[in-house]
Amino acid sequence: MTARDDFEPEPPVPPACRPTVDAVQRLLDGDGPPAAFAADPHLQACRDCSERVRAALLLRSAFAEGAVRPKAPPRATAAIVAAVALDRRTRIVRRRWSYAVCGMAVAACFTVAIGPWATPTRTVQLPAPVSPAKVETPTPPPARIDATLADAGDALENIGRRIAEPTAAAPRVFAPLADALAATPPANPFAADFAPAAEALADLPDAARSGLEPVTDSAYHAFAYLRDMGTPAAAPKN
Amino acid sequence: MTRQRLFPTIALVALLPAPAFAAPRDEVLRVSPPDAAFTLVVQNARDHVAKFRTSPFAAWFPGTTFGHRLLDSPDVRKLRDSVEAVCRQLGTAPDALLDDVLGDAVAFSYRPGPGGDPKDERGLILVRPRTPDALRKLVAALDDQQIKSGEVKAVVPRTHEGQPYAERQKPGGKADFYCWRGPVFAYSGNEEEIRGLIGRDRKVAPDAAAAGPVATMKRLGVENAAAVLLINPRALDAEVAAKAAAGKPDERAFLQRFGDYWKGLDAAALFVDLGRDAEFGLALVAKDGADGVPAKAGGSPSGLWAAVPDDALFAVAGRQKVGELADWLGGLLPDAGRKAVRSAVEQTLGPVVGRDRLPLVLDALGPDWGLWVEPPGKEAGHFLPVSVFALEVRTDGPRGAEAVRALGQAVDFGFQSARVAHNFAHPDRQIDAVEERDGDAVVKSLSSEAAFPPGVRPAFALKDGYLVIATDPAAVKRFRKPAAVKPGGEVPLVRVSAAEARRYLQTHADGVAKFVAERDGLKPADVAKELREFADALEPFDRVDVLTRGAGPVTQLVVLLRVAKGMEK
Repeated sequence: MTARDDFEPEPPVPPACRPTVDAVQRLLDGDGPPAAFAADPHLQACRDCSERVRAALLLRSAFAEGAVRPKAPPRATAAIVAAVALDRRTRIVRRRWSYAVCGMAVAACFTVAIGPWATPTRTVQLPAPVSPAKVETPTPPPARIDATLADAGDALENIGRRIAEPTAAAPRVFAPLADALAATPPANPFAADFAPAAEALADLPDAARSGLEPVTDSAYHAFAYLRDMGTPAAAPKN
Repeated sequence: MTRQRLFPTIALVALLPAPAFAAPRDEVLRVSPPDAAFTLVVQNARDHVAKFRTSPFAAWFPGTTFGHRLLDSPDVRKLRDSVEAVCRQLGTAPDALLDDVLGDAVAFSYRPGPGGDPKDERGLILVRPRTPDALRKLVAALDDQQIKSGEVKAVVPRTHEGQPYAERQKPGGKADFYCWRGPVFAYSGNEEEIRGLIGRDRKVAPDAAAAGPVATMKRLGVENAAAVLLINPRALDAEVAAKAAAGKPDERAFLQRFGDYWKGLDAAALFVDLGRDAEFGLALVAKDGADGVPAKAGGSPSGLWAAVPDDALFAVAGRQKVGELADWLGGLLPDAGRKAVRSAVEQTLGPVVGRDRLPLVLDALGPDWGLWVEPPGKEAGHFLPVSVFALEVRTDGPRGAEAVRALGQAVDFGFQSARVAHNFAHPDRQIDAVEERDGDAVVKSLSSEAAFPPGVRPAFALKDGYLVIATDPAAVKRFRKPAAVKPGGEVPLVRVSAAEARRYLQTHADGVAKFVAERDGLKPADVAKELREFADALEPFDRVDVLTRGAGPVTQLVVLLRVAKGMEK
């Protein structure tokens, strides 16, 4: 029997709970703002997740306090262990101070531009603790700005994906129509004569891509540099 | 101050020359590194956002199906919440951040490391806030918050040439740096960049930008664009030359030609411009006398644009002589490829038109050509769009009539050969040849309900000086000789109509869904749902145009995204 056998196997997390569980993970790592949960509508509908969040907030406060040993609610330990153990591998902590300038520029412009469209933020009332222990909760340390900005960056990326997603249907719709016209009999009797020429011309896009590589690679490096500027994990620049 | 002392003061101020205020963009570019490979400039974001917020598009978009789906998404909520959370922490708001800090000019410059080594690459961010105090407070709040959260250990004052800058020391021995030069805030992860900026600021003239990057932007015609990525070709010369030298044998001809173009390039930029519509473009300036930049502007649009119907889903048209185009393409190919192109033309057309008449026919083809796709006819069951190809055939040459006759024979031979080959192989699905008169022209077509999808009848005619080939003889009959076009101005190359594509998908959804589902082994309902979502996503857009514009050494290749409602009043 190994030590791991003492633990019960982790119950699978429903997909709907995944964002909240990830946010709990970030909070416990000191990377996520507690305020983020106020805007999570999932907490209203999911008792398990509201338990997880309350337990995580409690634990975070206790760590901030240091000497205070709070009495945890009955299911807090199990919820926290489950949350902490969840899918560490897929979590990427991005600490990008440069978002403070360039990321904020894009995000702020977008946020201001869509300001009149957006529905007001809903304030979610967390359910009352089941058996709350009276804990003196000091002001928690401020949330990491880079982590919140990384969230904004993720959201911006996802919005771009949402916009582009339906257009992915275009090739699926129009390619068969184009094929149908191209494959309409009768077949081109000169197809075989044109094949070598078509092959030679078909190589041109690859050659063009290759020729542009010095420019595209440098541009890619420039944007990667912009994105990573100020990353603690990045190599020193001086 | 007494009235007597006040008057001379006012008089003196009135007599002084008006101070020359540099534009925020110019102030930022004045101190940007002149040898940067890339310089990204975002300007007037405040005005652009303000115009957009009060635009018809902004009022209309949330009511569309796609807008509703997008704006109701958790990602939009998350973005807004994250930005607001950060702003709260820093004691500001998104509106104030845009108005006071980011709304005038922001720039980022980048220099790759020598030999592309990322260890030595350098970047610099420059911001010209409208209210410098607002940014000072923001930076102070950011330093304070990040020290508290442990992201930054300390902010240490430093000096260079007697000028102050700050070092933000981070855990693990890392650091980044910032300074103020007048109203311009600079930030970099590289201390040398900040020191270089301080030195540059003390040396360059106040109007240095006007002669440098701003002048380049003006030459490229992008000085008022919302965002510009300036590309300095000389900073990448070595990499381009190395690439050409190391190219694979079958790419070498192209890479050498590309290297020649690159050497002839004086400046380049990618840009985004926002007005009623959105423009995304590439602008190029060739060196004086350089025989470099391809597709030089200043040409004429293809006259066939006038023949493209308004409801075309897609169209592409140009103006090149077939012979010249073949020569240009041949120059990009290796020897084997060039021979393959030549022999394809000679072996297919040669025997049909006669080898002696081949140069005559090739010379008569063009320069106007066009290809477009129209919605299908209204007959029941027709759902495939109609494709039309038209090519100008010059008859005014010394043996023009002979060339036209030879061309007609060649196309007719192709049609008949294909029909015979098909009928031989498919005795149960015979194709008939049909001839119809259309004025002076004869429209020849192939017809078979069994062999072709509904509505498809390949056809061609030599009509009004054009060879017209289409998938429906009705489209050939509809073709009319376009009026002559004036040279200069914008030259359209490609047009994609989102509005017509949407209308087509909505009208023929059932036929298309059934066809695609049968062909790809899918459920028609799933394909129909995908079609609907795609049609919804097209709703905000009217059409996309790809065009060139410019004059002399300047060429702009522009993608013009026309939206359904204006993005400004």
